[in-house]
Amino acid sequence: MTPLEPAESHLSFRRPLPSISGAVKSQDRSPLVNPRDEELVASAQKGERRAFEELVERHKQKAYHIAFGFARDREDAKDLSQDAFLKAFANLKNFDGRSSFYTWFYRILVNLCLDYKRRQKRAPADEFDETVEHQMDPSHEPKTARTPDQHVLAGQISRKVGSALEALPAKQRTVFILRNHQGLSIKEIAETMETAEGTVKVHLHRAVTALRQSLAEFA
Amino acid sequence: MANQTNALATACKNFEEDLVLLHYGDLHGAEQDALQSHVNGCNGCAAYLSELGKLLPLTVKADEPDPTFWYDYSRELRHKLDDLDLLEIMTSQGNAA
Repeated sequence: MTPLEPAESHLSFRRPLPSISGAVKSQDRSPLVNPRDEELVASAQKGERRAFEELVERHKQKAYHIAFGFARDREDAKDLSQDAFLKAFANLKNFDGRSSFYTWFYRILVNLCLDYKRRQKRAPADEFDETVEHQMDPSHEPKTARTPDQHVLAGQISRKVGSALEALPAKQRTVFILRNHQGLSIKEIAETMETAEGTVKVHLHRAVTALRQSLAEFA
Repeated sequence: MANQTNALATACKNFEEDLVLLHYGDLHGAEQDALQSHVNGCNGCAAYLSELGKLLPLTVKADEPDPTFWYDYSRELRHKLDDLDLLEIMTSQGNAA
């Protein structure tokens, strides 16, 4: 594929991938039309750029939302998630398939997000709420009109949540975002963070306990 | 408008961690049944569980970009991948020279 081809043709596989051979057949899936992540990875490792681009299309929304959970800023979330894809692409030859692609990829993403938070902590005071409020596209505002009181309350909650999340230790924040915001299972989080499921449960409980205290006034 | 601290529900200490898991749907089978049956007879744990259901959704800052954003996202990333490809080619040529 050349960069000059129309962008639409890159978005997803409309036709079977010729480079994917010997794909496992299953009753509810046609591997040639809808290849598994592992098959796409194998093709991408052989130099098939389109296969990697299909992986991007499959995972970009979830990746972006995870990054947004950390950054709470649209532009930063986009950059972080794109950087994760670039890093995955550059290191694809090192992916040995011992874990699933998404576990491996989300590990890269989460590490980038944690680095971002560390850099942010060293930077001057975080303009968390203002940044988020300004960057939110008005078209994404709730459709129902808010009263001035509701606006004030929403801003108050947003500020509280922002600082409460900021105050959490990195591992607790990571577990909380992956479970609460993204719905990853305890097992998936444990694999992503390369830790035991029991440890994930402890982090989750501690994060929830801390957040409950911070948000007590809204109970 | 909330501007004073409300009293938080108090659950049985030894069930708190599992109540969080129950809230997220991470308890299954006998474990889930046992805890649910405890919650049914324990006001503190029931209140704690209901409070999690009220408070935790507040922490999610939803951001649903429109289709244009996603189109640009993919296009921009393809350009970055092109740059990466180019860099790799230049590096390998440099090494070969």
